Amino acid sequence: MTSRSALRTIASRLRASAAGLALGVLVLEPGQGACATSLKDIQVGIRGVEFLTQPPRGQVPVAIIADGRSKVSQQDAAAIMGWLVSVGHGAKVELIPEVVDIADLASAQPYRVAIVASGLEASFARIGDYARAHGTLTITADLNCVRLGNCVLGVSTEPGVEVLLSRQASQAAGVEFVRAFRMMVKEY
Amino acid sequence: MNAPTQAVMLRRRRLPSRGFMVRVAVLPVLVVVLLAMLFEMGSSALQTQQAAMTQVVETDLESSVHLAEINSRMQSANAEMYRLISLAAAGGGGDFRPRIQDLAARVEGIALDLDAYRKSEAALAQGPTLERFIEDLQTYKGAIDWLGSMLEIDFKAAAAFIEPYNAHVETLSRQLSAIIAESTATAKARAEVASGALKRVAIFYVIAAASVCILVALFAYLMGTRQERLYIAAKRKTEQVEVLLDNSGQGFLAFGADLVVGDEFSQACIEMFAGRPAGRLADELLFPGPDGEGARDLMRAVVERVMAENDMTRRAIILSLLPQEVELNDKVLAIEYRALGDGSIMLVVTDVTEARHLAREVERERQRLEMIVAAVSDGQEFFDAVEDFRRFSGWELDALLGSDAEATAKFDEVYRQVHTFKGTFSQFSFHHLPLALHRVEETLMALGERDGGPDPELIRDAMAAARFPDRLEDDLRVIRDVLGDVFVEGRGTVSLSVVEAKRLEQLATHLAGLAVPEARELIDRLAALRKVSLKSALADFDRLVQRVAERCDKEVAPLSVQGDDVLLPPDRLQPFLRALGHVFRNAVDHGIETPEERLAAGKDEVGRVFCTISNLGQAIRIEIADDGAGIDRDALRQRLAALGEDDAAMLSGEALIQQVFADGVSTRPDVSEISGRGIGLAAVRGTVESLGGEVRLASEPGRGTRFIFVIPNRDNSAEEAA
Repeated sequence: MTSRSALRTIASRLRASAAGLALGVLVLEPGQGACATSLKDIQVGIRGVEFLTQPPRGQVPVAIIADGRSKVSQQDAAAIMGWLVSVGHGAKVELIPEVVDIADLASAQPYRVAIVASGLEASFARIGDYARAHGTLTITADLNCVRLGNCVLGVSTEPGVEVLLSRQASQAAGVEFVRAFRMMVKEY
Repeated sequence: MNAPTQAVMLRRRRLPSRGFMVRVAVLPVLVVVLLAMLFEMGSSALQTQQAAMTQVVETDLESSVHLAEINSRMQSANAEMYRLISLAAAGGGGDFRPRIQDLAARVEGIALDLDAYRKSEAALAQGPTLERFIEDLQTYKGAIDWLGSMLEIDFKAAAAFIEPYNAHVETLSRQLSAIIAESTATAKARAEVASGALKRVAIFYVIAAASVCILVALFAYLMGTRQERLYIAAKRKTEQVEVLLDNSGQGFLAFGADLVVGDEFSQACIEMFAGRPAGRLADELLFPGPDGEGARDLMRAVVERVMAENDMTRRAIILSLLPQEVELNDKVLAIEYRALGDGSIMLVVTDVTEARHLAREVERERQRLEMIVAAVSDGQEFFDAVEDFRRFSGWELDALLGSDAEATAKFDEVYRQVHTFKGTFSQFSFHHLPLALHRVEETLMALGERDGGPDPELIRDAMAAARFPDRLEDDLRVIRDVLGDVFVEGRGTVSLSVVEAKRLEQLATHLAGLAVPEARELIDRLAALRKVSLKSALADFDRLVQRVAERCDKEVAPLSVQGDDVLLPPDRLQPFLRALGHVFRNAVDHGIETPEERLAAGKDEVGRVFCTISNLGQAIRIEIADDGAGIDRDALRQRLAALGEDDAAMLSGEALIQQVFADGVSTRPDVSEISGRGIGLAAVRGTVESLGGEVRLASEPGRGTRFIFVIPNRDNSAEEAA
């Protein structure tokens, strides 16, 4: 084992610890925010990555965009981080989640995939700008972001599973899904 | 019934031309070759089309099988998907990922197979459809992946996407059904195209075969029609020839070297030969009975020679040796012999019975006309002869036979008179009387040869049996019928008209009253009218000369009469002229040779008879000469010896020649109505001597004979005395 891979393992464990912490916070403060992201939302949404016409391979950095000024948003982001690190998303790629404050989003590195945590209703536009600027697949449990054309993919699993794809946002960001995916989901 | 020559000719004409025969021989071969080529072309085309059609069907069948298999695999994959969904719904099934991956791989395999199939020949026409279906199939695979991903989450997640999944599956199913239907339609269309091509080939083949059959049938029909036309034409010609031959009245038959008559002969032969000639021997047919034995021998010999001869001209010459005319079954048949090219001999037999009868009738009529002409032109002599004969056959005969003269002398006189009258009446072209006289002459000849000499009673009986008055009347009836009884009763005199008679009467009265010197001249002229010109009388013998020459097949120039003309009273001249008939007949019959003999002797083929009259004052010298063969002295001696005149036979020179005036002397071996009895010249001498004259004869062998008559001219003497 090389030192680099050892570092990665350590980082992974740290992220898992942080995710577990965040999950604990989330469990301690249940019911916060109407648009809180669920594990299933993440599972469904992340699988959409595999149906890009040019899906990413290997380790894929994933931005979890949250509002640092919103506790709800931070908690949601932490939960997402936890699921992605500890529970697993079921995707074939290795996701490397990183929480990115919406305030730093403009200067953040380009991410192919970004998960929009709850509590960012006011920042949808900024998210959309980022996605368009970097060709980022933005996944959110808040379908309004999709309907507004700022987020590319919206996932809602309660009461039933619904996947909403913004044709406008995807075209603006240059994010293209395979035909089968587009056939299975609803395009808005 | 057929005639051989014409039948053979018809058969030859009936033979088809060489070109026609070639067509008959070659065209069936061409038809067979054409049919074989047609069969080969048709068979090859059919095989090609059959192979193409088989390939099309096999390809399309393979395509259908392939599509059916795709469909089956599609259904199977779909069923697997639903089964996984069902397992997920039941909460079991474990890890779906490998199953989904397997399912996706199966769908991918289907897509790959379809892509390979899309590039095949059978799917060329369905390229865009298949391409679209393959794309949808890829979408289907993605849908399975997605649905599988959802199943990994939970059934609820998967269930949310079953509806679009089903919709897509239905879309695929419809597409595949359409592809299969299109494939089927394409296969059907291709099959129809192949079938159409096959059908066209078959139709072409059938049309070609039918055309050939029609051509063959047309050819056969034309051949048959032509044959039928030829047959009908030949039959019609044959019938026409048969009708012509059967109605020609001629007999046609043919025979070969064995002389057996063939089956072909004309109808007339049956009547001519009193039965069917077929199978009979030609020589026995033409010359039956014992009398025909010689002719039969000749015919067999001639036929044998003809068969051995190849030259047709010589054949014809040899055949001309056969009799040209035969009498059979009361018919006179003229026969022509023709050698045919096939070695047989054809006879053309014509019944000339009627023609011969007609010729006899014509001859008889000619004779009647000659008699009428003689009666008119020589009326005086004609009726003097008739009167003389009546007198002779009447009281003179009785007086002669009842006289005291010797029987031989009576016989000789009767015989001489009969012979003279026979010649006289022949000269006048009598018909019945010369025949009767000839028969009596024959009878008298027989009587004269009897032992003991001729019996006057038998002579009288023979004369009576001849019924001369009846025979004479039979001949005179011709004159009566034409010229009337008045002419006959008037003995040929010509009556003057009333005007002419009156003029003569006036002239006679005038002369008698005037007693002028001209009266003597008138008397002389009247006397001259009463006399006959000897020159004219002799010239009249030209008709006799020409008639005799014609009967003897000789040619004699017109009688030449030269010298002084002398007028003689008819009653004195008539016996002499009748006697001269013998001289002229002998000159032509005995003296003048046939044209062939004259030519062989270096003479002109036309003989000549000359008369020269010399008025000697107290006598008249008449010389009648011919340029013939002269008297055959040897024959004369033989005749004299036969008559027992041995002394005379020993004579020579002029003395021998003078013996021709003896009774019964003739140099001719045969006897005819013209001459040959040896009686005529004796009668001539007797007549001349009765007139107080004399006759001498000079003859030079090969140069001719001359009679020199010297007759006293008593009228002239009396007149001179007066």
